[in-house]
Amino acid sequence: MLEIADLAIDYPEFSAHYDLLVPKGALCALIGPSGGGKTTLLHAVAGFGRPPRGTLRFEGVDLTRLKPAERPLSILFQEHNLFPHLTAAQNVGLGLDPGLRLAAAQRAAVDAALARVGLAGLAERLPAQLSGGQRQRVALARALVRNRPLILLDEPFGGLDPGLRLEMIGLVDQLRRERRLTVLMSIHTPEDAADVADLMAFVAEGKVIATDTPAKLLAGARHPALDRYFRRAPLGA
Amino acid sequence: MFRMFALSVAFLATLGLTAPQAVAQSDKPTLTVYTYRAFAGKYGPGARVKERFEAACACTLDLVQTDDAGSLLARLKLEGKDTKADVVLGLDTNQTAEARAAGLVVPHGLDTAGLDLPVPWTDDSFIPFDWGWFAFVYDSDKLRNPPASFKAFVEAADGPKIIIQDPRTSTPGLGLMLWVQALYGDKAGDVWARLAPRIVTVTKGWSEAYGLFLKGEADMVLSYTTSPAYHVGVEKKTNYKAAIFPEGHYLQVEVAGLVKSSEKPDLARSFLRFVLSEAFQSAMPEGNWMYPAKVPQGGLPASFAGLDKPQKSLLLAPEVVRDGRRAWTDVWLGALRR
Amino acid sequence: MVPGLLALALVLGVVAAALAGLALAAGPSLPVVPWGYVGGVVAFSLWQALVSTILSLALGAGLALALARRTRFAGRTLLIAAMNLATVLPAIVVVFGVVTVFGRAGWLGEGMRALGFDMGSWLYGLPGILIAHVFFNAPLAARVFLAGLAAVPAEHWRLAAQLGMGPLAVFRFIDRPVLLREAPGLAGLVFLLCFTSFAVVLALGGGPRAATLEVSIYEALRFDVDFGRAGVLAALQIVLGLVLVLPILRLGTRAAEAAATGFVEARPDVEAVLPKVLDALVLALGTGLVLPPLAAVALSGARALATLAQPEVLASLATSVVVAIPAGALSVALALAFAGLTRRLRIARARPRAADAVSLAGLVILVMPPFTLAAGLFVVLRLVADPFALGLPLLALVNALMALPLVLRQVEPPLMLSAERYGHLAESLGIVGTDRLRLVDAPLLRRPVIVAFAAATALSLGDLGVAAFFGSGEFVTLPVLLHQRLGAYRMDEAASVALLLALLAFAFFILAQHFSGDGRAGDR
Repeated sequence: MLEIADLAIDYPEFSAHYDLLVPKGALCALIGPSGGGKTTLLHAVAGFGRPPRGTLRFEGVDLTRLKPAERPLSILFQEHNLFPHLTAAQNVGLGLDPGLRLAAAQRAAVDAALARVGLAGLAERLPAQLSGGQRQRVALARALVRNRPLILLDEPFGGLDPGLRLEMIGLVDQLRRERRLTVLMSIHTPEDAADVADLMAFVAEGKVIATDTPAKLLAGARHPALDRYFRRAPLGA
Repeated sequence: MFRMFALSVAFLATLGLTAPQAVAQSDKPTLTVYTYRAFAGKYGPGARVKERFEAACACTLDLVQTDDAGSLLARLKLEGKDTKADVVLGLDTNQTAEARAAGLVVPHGLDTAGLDLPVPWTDDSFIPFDWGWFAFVYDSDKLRNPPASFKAFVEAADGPKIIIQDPRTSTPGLGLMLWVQALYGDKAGDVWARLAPRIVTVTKGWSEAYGLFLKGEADMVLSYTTSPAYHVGVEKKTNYKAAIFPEGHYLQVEVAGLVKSSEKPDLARSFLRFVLSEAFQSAMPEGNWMYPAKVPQGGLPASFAGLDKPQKSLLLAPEVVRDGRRAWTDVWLGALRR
Repeated sequence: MVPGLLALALVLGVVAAALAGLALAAGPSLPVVPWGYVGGVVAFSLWQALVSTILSLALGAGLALALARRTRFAGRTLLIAAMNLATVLPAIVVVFGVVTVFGRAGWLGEGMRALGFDMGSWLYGLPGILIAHVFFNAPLAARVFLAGLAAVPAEHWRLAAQLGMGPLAVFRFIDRPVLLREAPGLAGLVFLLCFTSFAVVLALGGGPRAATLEVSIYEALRFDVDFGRAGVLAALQIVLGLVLVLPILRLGTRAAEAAATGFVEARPDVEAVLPKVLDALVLALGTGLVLPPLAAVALSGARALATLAQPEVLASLATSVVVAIPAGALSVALALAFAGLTRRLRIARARPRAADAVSLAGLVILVMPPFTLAAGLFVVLRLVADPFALGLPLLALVNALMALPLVLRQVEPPLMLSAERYGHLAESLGIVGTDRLRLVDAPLLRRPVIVAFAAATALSLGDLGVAAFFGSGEFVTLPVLLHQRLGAYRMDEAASVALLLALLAFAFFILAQHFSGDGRAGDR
C-alpha cells in the first residue's frame, strides 16, 4: 500500500497538499489539468524537490527519510530517461549498477529485460537511433531490472501516437501483473487508462480532488474542477 | 581521463620521495653559502667561484639560491637559528643594518685594508665583494647632449625622459632615492616633483626598466655605470653610455657575512678570505658586471677599460638608511603620486 | 561531497597556514600599517579593475559570439589558440609585447608618424593598464562565453529557426541569457586578477599613482622584512577582494534549463547582415589587440633562437613540463571536486548561499599575494619538514592551486548544466561520485575539462612559481630562466625563452582543441 496523507509541499509560487491511498499491486492513473500538481506529487514520492511534510509510506516504510535512489521505486519521465551517449543496454545496465560494472549474469538480465519489452537485438543502439516508443521501452526495461515494487510514470507516453500509447500502457499493465508491481502513472488521456487502471485520481490546484474507479470517475463524480477538465456543464446548470 | 588524475597525484608523490638531496654524500665538510639566483645561476659567477674554492679547501661548497637579495634576507630571518647557512653572500649595504639588528651575523675578524673601494670600509660584520655606481644610461646615438650634472638633469624642464624603478621593490630604485636624499636632504621632495613629469614610468624591477629603455620608451634609464661594459664586452656596441655627474654617484656595495649560527666558523672565515682573493675577485667584473672589491693583478677586463668613472661617491651609513627609509619613501610617494 | 570538502579544506588550509606562518614569524608585536596610503591605493585598484573587467567581458562576449557564428574561416583555430597564449606569458613579457606595439617607439606610433600623425606618449597610465589587462582577460572571457554558447541545446536553434527569429531576437532570447549566466562568475575572476595585478600595473601605470596593495606587501617582505605587516596587508587584500566579489557572484541567476539534447544545429543568424558586420569588426579588434603583441614577442624571440639549443634551456623545459602537467591535472581534479560540491549544495541541498560561499573560497588563492603565500608556507612547512626536500611536488601543488580559479570557471557551468538535464535521473538511479562524472557528466564536461587542463598546464608553464621565492635554485623552470636572462642583460635570449613558452602553450591548446573536437557541438 502506498499511503499519502496530509502531504504538504510549499513552493514560493505553488503549494500542494495531497491525500491518496493506492493498494499494493494496483495501477493508479493520475489525471487532471496541466499545472495542477501531478508531477509535483510524483516528484515528492520519488524524492525530488523540496522535502514535503506529512505522511508518505510504502508498505509501512517511511519514504521521506530516504534518498531518491534508496526509495523502493523507479521513475520514468516523459523525456530524458536515457543518457544520449550510452547504448540501450548501457542505459538499462545503469539500473543494476550505477557505475556500469556488470557481471555476466547482470548482462544476461539486461538482455532479458530488453527482450521482455520487445527490444531484443537493439541492445547496442544509441537512443538517437531508436524511436520515441522504443526509448520508453528501454526505460521500462531499466525499471524492470531495478526490480523495485513501485513504479512512477510521469506522462511517459505523452509523445506517442494513440495506437502506440495503448500498446505501451498495455505493456505496463502486463508487467505489473507479472511482477505484482504498484504503479502510479500520470496521464493526459484518461480514456487510454480507463480499461487497465484499478484506480483513477483527479489532481488539480495542488490537491487530489477525487479518487474512484475509472468508470465512476469518468462518468459520475461531480466536481467543478472535474467538470471544467472534461468541459461539461456542471450538474443542474 | 579520471584515471589520469590519480596517476598524476601518484606521480607527484613519487617526485617528492625521489627529490634530489641538497647535501652531497661524502666525508668532506660542506660549506653552505646563501646567495641570490643571479649570482649562482647560469649567467652569474657562481659556478667559477665554486670550482675555484673547492680546488683549495678540501670541502664542498653548496651555493643555495634565493630569488633575489630581498628574499635572501627574508629567508635568513625566517630560518633564524636553524639556518643551514654558514655564509650569506649578496646583501647590500641597505640591508646590513637589518641583518645586524636581527643578530644574524657575527664579526668576520678579517683585515679589510687595501680594498679598491671608493669609500673607506669600516664594517666589522660584512666584507664587500663587489660594488658599482648607480647612473643613468643612455644611447649616445639618440641622446646627443646628455645632462652634464645632476643639477642640470633635474632642472631641464624639457630634459630627457627617464625610466626608474620603484624604491619599494627594487635595489636601483632604492639607490636613486638615497642618491637624491644624499644630495638634497630635506629638498628631496622638490627634486622629485621636478623630475616627475619626465618620468615615463616606474617599474617593479631593473629588468622591466632596462628592457623598456632598450625598446626606445625613454631617453635614459636608471642602471649602473658598468652597464655599458656588457654592451661593449658581449654585443660589441659602444653607443650605450652612462651619464657622469660631478655632484657624485650613489654606490651599491654588495657584501658577504659570517652567519652567527654557523657550526663551521673557521671554514666560513676561510671562504670570506677567499672572497677577497684574486680567484674570486677576477670572476666579478664580467660575471656580475660590477667592479671587484679588490682589483685583480691583471687589472680590469677590456670591456671595463673605457668606462667613464664618477669622481665622487655617495653612500649613506646602513643605520641611517634603516632609520630614514620609511619617511623618505613617503616623500617620494607624495611627490610622484599627486 | 567528500572530495569537494577535501579540496575546500586544502585551499583554505594552504591560505590559512600561510597567514599563520607569517603571524608566527612576526612575533607578538602589532604591525604598523600605512592606512592613508592603503586607502589611496585601494581606490585606484578598484577603479582600474572595474574598468578592466567591463572592457574584458565586453570584448570577450563579442569575440565569443563572433566565433560561435563564424565556425569556419581561415585561421579560426589558430586565433583561438593564440588568444589563449596571453595567459601563459610572464607579465614582464606581456609588458614588452604591448610596449613594442603601442609604445612611444612602437609599431602603432611609428606607423602613425609615417602617416603624419604624432600620437605622443599616451600609453603609460590607465590606457596602458587597460590594454594589458584586456589583452590578458578578454581571451579568457571569450573562452568561457564560447563554452557556454556551445552548450545551448540544439532544440533552441531549431526553435529559433522555426520561429523565424532575426539576429536581434536570437541574441535576446538565446545568446543573452547564456552571457548573463556566465558573466557574474567570470567578472569576479577577472576583477580579482586585475585587482591584484602588480608588475603590469606598475610598469604601464606610469608611476606610484597607479599601484596595487601588492606593492606594499612586497615592500614589507623584501625591504622591511616585516612579516607582520605583510600578513596584515595580505589579510586585508583577501577580505577586500572577497567582499568586493561576493555581490558580483550574487548577481548570478541561473535559469534552470529544461531543454533536450540533440545534435549540432546551425545558428539561424549566420547569414544576416548586421551580425556579419559586427563579427567582422569584433574579430578585427580582437585580432588587432591580441596578435600584434604576440607577434612582437615572437619577433624578438626569433633574434636569439639559436640560444634555445643550449643545455640549460632543455633542462628548464623538462623541469617546466614535469611541473606543469601534474599541476594542470591536479588543478582540474581539484576543480571537479570543488564544482561537484557547489553543485550539490546548489541543487540537491537547495543551499545557494552555501554554494556561493564555496565558489568564493575557490577564488581565495587569487587574492593571496604569491610572496606571502610562499613565505608563510615556508615557515609552516619548516615545522614539519625541509621545504626544499618537497621541491617539485610543492611547486606543482602551488601552481595547481593558482590555476584553480581559472579551471573552476570552466568546469562549473557544464556541471550545473548536466545537473539540470540529468540530475533527477542520476539521483533516482543512485549514480554518484566519480560514476556520475564518468557516466552522466562526461559528455558535457569532456571538452571544457580538456581545454581547462590545457589552460591550467599552460598557466603553470608560465608561472614563475611562488616556490621560486624561497627556492633552493635546483629547479630552474623556463620562466625562471627567462628572468635570469633578463637580469643578465640578455633581452633577446630572454625573448627566445618567452617564444619557446608561447610555442609550447600554443601546442597544448591546439592539441586540446583537436582532442576536444572543435566546433559548436553540444552533445554527441
